[in-house]
Amino acid sequence: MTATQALPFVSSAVIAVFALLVFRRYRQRGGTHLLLWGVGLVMFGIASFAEAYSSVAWHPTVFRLWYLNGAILNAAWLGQGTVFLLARRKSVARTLMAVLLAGSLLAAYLVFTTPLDASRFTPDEPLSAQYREAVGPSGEVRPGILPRGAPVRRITPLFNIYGTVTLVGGALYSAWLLYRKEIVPQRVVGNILIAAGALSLAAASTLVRLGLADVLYLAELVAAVVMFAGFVLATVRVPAPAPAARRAEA
Amino acid sequence: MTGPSRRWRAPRPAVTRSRAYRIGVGAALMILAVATAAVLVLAAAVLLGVLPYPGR
Repeated sequence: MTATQALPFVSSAVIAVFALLVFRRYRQRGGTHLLLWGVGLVMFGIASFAEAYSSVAWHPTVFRLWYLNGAILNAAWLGQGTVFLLARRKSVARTLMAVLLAGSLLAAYLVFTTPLDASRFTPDEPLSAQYREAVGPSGEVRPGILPRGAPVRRITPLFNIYGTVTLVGGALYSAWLLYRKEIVPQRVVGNILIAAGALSLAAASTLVRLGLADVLYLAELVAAVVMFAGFVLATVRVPAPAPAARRAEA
Repeated sequence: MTGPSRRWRAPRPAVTRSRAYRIGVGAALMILAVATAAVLVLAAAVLLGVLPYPGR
């Protein structure tokens, strides 16, 4: 097993702890955004676990779960959480949620009905290098596990663009608002880290489509660690100033 | 007193806004915004088929 193939094992563990903390916060405080972030992280974790599994063995359902959760859904669901957090009109958030849910069901149907070419699979390469056609060393085009031109591959960028705009854009907007309101510096930095982590994932997904498949696993680990750190910073309880300090400020 | 009454506002919590903090946050926001725009343009180009890549 190469170092690249070992990365998803670490990512899965980080994401599992991250998701547990988000769900715990949801149980304590409620809030649809926390629930959706938790669901998005579970999707991220499933994709990461599927990558780890696929470095050892092949299973068509594991591959389908990887593509559905990792390539299509997780960024969009994480971003939908941010939409619920920031949208002034909840009706807008609910409408977008209904569209996302319908799109997700369609994507799941397409993923599970698309025929796979298992003969293309090898545990020695990351899934991101195998799912689609690749140009070999002598210039020949090798087929991918997913067939060329499959409808499910055409809809994937739509989900990722929506996820990037809402998740990264939402975190940057939150950071800017908090910075201008001069509230808590940790939350500003936390949101910047969340944006940076999500952007690492979005950039890697785009680079995979441009032929740089090996960067995905590393980018996923960076995204998991940086977003986790951002979440912890953004949600940490800031101690109130001591009475003496308050008197000094007054 | 004949002037307009002042609306009471809750005091803001004290925030350390050092020069390094302001420059750091400003630079990070700007870099991330530009990088996000670049990624979105690339993703849209892939979606529209402007950028050639095998197996679309």
